[in-house]
Amino acid sequence: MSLLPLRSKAGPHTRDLADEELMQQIRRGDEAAFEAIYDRHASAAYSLAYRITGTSATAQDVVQESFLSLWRSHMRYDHTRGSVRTWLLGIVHNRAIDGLRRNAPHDKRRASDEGIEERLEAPQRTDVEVLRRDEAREVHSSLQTLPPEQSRVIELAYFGGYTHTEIAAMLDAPVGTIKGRMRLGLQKLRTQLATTAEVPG
Amino acid sequence: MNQECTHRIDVGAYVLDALPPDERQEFVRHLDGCAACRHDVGQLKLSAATLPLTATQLEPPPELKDRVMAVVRSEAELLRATGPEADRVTRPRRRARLRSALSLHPRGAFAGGLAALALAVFGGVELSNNGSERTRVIAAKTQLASATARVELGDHGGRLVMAGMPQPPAGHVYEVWLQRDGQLPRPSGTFYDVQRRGTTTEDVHADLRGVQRLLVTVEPKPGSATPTSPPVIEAVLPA
Repeated sequence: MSLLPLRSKAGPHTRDLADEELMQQIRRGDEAAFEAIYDRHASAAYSLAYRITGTSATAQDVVQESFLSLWRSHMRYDHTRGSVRTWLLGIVHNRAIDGLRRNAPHDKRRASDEGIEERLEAPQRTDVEVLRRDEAREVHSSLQTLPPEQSRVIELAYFGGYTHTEIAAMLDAPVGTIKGRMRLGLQKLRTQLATTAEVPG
Repeated sequence: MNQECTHRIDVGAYVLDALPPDERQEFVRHLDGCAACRHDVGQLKLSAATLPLTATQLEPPPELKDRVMAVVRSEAELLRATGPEADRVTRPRRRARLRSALSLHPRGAFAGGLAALALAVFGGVELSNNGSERTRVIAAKTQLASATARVELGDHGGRLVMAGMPQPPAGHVYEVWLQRDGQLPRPSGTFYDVQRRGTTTEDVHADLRGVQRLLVTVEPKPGSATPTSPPVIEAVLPA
């Protein structure tokens, strides 16, 4: 018995196809199309999962599950509802947050709020290669242009998986205030997007 | 944006999935009848779609791709082996056929891609003898062309020897089942993982008397009480 080649690359033709076309081939069981999708989006998927879960092992599990569910058509991709990338990152986000909620009982999370805040700072790591800094910088900076109280609640919700009531308790603020900050912050991001580059999704 | 709607305040929290379940349900019901909030949700989702990029962009470890591609190649190989009609769109019908063919009664739905494994047809099982008086070796059928498996039967249980098995999907284990005549498969109490491609040996510490078939399925951790997916390995034991 011979081991399967693990490193073969998808052919040039496959590489030229748009994500949406690759998704159709994946539904027919074409692993080269899948590999092309993986190569295009694995970094974004892993980066998001790592930011949420805070460990490489868990992030890898999340990325593996997400791509395999894409491969197996567990989750049907519907092109009318956004790009493949946005859709895939939505799956990654859900799974990472699920893992976070499953692995961190409420009281334990509450006790480690400080650690989560720290993690949400997303410190630069020196032991991993940092990719697409320019691409990320613009969006990152736009989040940083928000008033800190707005970017903070958005980060706690999106990367921390907290509900608005949990965040309200954490920051000792009324729930209406928290919800308002979320909405205002996202609205401001939307305005910035309209004035800069193309809109993803 | 609609200044009047009292739910408008919830749009950001909804888009960030930060509404508690009851509030979320209520908001979703509200969305049905409120075009203004639907519009706001659409707009703010565009903002939320940029949030992944605010994470520091990292390169995933190459081993991750190796693991994912190993699973994908195994399953693609299986799909090809089943011929041109192997189209996962028709999976439900195939599942039903397999279930009756194997007399399995999974309590839940088959896990998506694992159902693809159902497409394989189990052929005849050959019985061989390795020359030892005490050990009989039975070739087992696997539906992965890349994998082989055999059962070695001794006086005090059996041993499952496999080569070329892919890792189970994340959060899953291989579970060994024993099936007696006319009965549903019972757990053998043996679970295993595959750390790397190559030979894997699992001792099955169970009373094998009267056991007709030894099956292996992929189950969610830590294992299941009844099979929830079609067998990936099947061995017919001698009477």
